[in-house]
Amino acid sequence: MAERQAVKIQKIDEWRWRIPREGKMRTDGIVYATSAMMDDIRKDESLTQVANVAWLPGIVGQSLAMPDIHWGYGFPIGGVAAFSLDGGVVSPGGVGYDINCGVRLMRSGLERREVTPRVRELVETLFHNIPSGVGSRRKDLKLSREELQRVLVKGAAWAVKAGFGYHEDLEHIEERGCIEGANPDLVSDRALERGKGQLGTLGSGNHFVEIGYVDEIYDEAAAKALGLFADQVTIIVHTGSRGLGHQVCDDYIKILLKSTERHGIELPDRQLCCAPVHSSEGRQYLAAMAGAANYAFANRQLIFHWVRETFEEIFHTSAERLGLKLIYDVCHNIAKVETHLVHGEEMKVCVHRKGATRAFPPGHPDIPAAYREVGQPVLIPGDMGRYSYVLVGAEGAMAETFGSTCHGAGRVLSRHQAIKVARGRGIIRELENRGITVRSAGKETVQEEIPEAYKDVSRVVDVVHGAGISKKVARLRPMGVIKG
Amino acid sequence: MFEAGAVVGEASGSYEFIDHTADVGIRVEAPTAAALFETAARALTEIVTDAGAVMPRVKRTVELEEETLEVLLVSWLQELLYLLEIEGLAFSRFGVKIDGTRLHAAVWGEPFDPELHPRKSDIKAVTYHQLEVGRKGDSWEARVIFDV
Repeated sequence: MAERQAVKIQKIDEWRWRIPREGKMRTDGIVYATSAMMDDIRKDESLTQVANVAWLPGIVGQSLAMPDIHWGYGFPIGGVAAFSLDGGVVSPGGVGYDINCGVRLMRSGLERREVTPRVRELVETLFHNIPSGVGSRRKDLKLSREELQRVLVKGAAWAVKAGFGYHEDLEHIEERGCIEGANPDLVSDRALERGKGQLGTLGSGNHFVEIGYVDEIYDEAAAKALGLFADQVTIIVHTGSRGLGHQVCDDYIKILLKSTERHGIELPDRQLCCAPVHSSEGRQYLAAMAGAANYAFANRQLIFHWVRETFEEIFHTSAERLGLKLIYDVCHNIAKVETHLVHGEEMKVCVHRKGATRAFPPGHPDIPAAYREVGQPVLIPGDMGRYSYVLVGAEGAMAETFGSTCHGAGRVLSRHQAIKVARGRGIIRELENRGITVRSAGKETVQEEIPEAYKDVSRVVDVVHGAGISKKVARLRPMGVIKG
Repeated sequence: MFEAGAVVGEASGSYEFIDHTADVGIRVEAPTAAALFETAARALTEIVTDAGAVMPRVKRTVELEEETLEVLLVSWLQELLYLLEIEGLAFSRFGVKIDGTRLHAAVWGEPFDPELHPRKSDIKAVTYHQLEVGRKGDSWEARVIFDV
């Protein structure tokens, strides 16, 4: 469907664009992008989606879009919007199907040269220890319904108590790995059933575990505070709430489609279905969403544990000796009640981040003490062939984007197009020749996920850095990847 | 109005994949609403694995009712996804009956086995995005986007 982009867009400066309020929009849209990126962004429906979000009642500030914007369901991916608690709405489409899809970054005391000869073994062992791909389930983690409900209430703390990782890990997770107010009774039986066998699995598509190294440092002081050094080996885990989160989103979209009608909310797109934050359905969604988010925090904590075990197995020494520590874990599909300054006054708002990451600046009380001087770590994964970035939150984020920044590269080619582009090329061999070992469960995953299918994440990161919403700290390059 | 699918197990309809940057969409065409639902189901299996490799060894029945035919299509496809995730079953043959916005179906397939069935894309959800179900001239058409 190639519809001409009818939305008006005005350039504000090098990094910012405005979609002026018109028609039923209650506020402007603001898109962070360069001119070159905007040419691409205009080719699909994303700008219309940014404008559509501005229809929603109780929106505070503008309908925002990060530079990795692409079109999604209702809200664009890369969308950020905040709503007042009094008269504003909450919308599952503003969070996404994969509730608390997020990223975790671990550091080690190892250098690249120590790990390069062992990458193939590490990748094979990770692939063996962490189920991924279609239909993947764990056989060793049998949870009763009650235990699973505890996972939804306690999040990463559940995993630590069950022996996966350490208590100190919790300090280095957004919300300490547990969003308060989760109510597992509001999570359907179907969601629980889907989640039961999938805890500790990676999923497929663009989820992965990646071993890499610090290739460049941009901010020495911040790198030091985060425990990063040149050539250091790092590990990234990217996954979410699996079938449980998807089902919670499905369930509540159905419920909120009806609420939208009942509350007489006019919408340009039914995937923006919503309910007032303080309505019973609104509260129920947030409580169920928190449960799914906590499941994802636990999932990443479990996977981290198996990453540690894998390194212990290959290097025949303890994780402590190897210096395997969690730097930080962030969500990029979530809705949270946070306090922000709006027209100089403190205000509690429900911030939706769909394919966007929290990026609190130096001094913010919600940042772990170890990072408070430099800002909250932000992890921006790129594609498997190029690089990923570590950033920290900056003041500009609090001033402009409700403390938010981008989340990744964003696709430019559809899976079908990517498979075509990859045809006849030995992608795995190509990556091997560049020093990257990939192991994937899916038949076509690697072809679908070729680097060319994605935007260049460095351009995305340059925009948020240039706009002052986050600051570059380091660049990481991949050495070994497992995918579903 | 009671409509039955064609020969049991044979979906008489066609589908194509729609190019969508981050996800996968299908456009389906069939002579009846029931055949439309059967063809959409086969397309869903084809996204996840090779539908031709799935043998019709195990049978399940599905009973659903929704307020509109569109939501019924989404629920039908979600049900098949659910059976894949929870029971580990993939389906390749479908016999659907539609009565207004009520569906009764028999589905045949087998346990998903990566040794037999190539792993393609994991479908996270069936979305309502650009959802369309309706008559077009003499036939029925549908469009559904999946979050993968």
